[in-house]
Amino acid sequence: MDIQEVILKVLNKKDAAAEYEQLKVWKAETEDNLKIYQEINNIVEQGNHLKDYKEYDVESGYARFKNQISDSTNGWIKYAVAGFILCIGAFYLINNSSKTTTEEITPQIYQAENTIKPFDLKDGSTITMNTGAVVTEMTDFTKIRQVALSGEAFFDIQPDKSRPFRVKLDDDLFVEVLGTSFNIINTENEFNITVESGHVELKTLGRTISLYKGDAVKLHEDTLVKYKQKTSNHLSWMKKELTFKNAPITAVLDDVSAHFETSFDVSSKVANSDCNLSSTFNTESLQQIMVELSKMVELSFTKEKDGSYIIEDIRCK
Amino acid sequence: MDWKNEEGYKVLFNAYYNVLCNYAYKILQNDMDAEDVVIEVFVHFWTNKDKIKVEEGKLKSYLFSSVKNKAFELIRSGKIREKHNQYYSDIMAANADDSSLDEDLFLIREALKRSLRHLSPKTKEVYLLRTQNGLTFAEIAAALNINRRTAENHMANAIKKLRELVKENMKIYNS
Repeated sequence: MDIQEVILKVLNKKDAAAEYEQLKVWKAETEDNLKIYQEINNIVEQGNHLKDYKEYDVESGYARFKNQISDSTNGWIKYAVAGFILCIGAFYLINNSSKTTTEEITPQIYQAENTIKPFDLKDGSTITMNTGAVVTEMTDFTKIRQVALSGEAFFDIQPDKSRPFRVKLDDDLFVEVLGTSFNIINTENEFNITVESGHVELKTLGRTISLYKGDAVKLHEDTLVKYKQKTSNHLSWMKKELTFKNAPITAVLDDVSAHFETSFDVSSKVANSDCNLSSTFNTESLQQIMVELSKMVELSFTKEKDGSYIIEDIRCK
Repeated sequence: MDWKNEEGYKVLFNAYYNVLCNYAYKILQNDMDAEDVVIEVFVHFWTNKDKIKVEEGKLKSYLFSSVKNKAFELIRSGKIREKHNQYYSDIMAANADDSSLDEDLFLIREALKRSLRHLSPKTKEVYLLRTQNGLTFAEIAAALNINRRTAENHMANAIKKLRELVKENMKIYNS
């Protein structure tokens, strides 16, 4: 049998018993035959496992390694009692050490103040917290920059390949970046991430969602859903500005209600209208904006006692 | 392989990082923990290079064992969330003779992955359709609009080339 024939018989051995018998005889003939058979079989069998075989970023792994060895106060050394480990095998040493992969520090906790303004982390990154937000530093930033967030905050992260920046959102839900800016809402009722620049990875157990500028993710019925942002007003809480460029009225109402944390009950006529408008609101109150809108698209509305609005009618100009 | 100088260690790192991360992932089922564990092992080997004496040909086993031990240690430390505990204790119980953690199979996969980059696109496609997707030659022929004999030839060609390339790519793990 030539190699080509052997290969085809290996491939077909499951389908044809006669082929398999021939192959068994052939591989028993010489040691070389057996070796060739094993090599071919490995290439065929292991090919099936390649779909689960991942490609990790070796370069950033090496950068992280370099960063960690330059930190000479590393606790490893004290475990490596001199003269103790010779030929026994290094893994015993590792097994005996009780150091875990996350650095333990006394957490530094930041709470949102009344005025919304950015604050600096020790790596030069800045975080701006919305009312009620809490950010906790979980590591000392020497190996990995990790914080936890509850509430809403905007992150502008200093690039550093050797020290990824992670935001922990839940037990197994992380955002990981190398240097970029993004906004996160992480509350009991709402989960949302929007990316302003660079590349953000949202990681849950066994799954990674890659996000680039303009991408967003929200939680919809317990499933993470990726979508494109329609307007840039998700940062209005920070910029104190709502901007619309030829935006559909429904998008305008969505953004205004989100900004003022109120709700609009919209009639089907309004919901289905194709009115678009362009405008910028800075310091106006909700009432002022509503009046402005009623001038622009003849919006008629009623304000309810609980502060919500019923939007009844509309006419595009 | 002389890994106790910076240049040699980088070669070692490049050769093993990806395969060890895949190995750790098999145990931890989480990319971040997998990479953390592997980096920690590499930091440890480097920091203790003067004390660690590796027997000829044993470096590979030391690296894999270190990663495995470190990964199981992470699980035991309870840092992994509880609902996966049963899953992990199952793995740990099965660990003694768990062929899914056979380091040589991981090395073959790593070598295969590297080797595949050197195949022509069509040959690679036929190989993957046959081995990964389990298509028959008749199905491959239909899918790619080629005749069956051509599909078989692509596959035979793929395996002949991969045998050589895998041998070449495996050399570093046996040095």
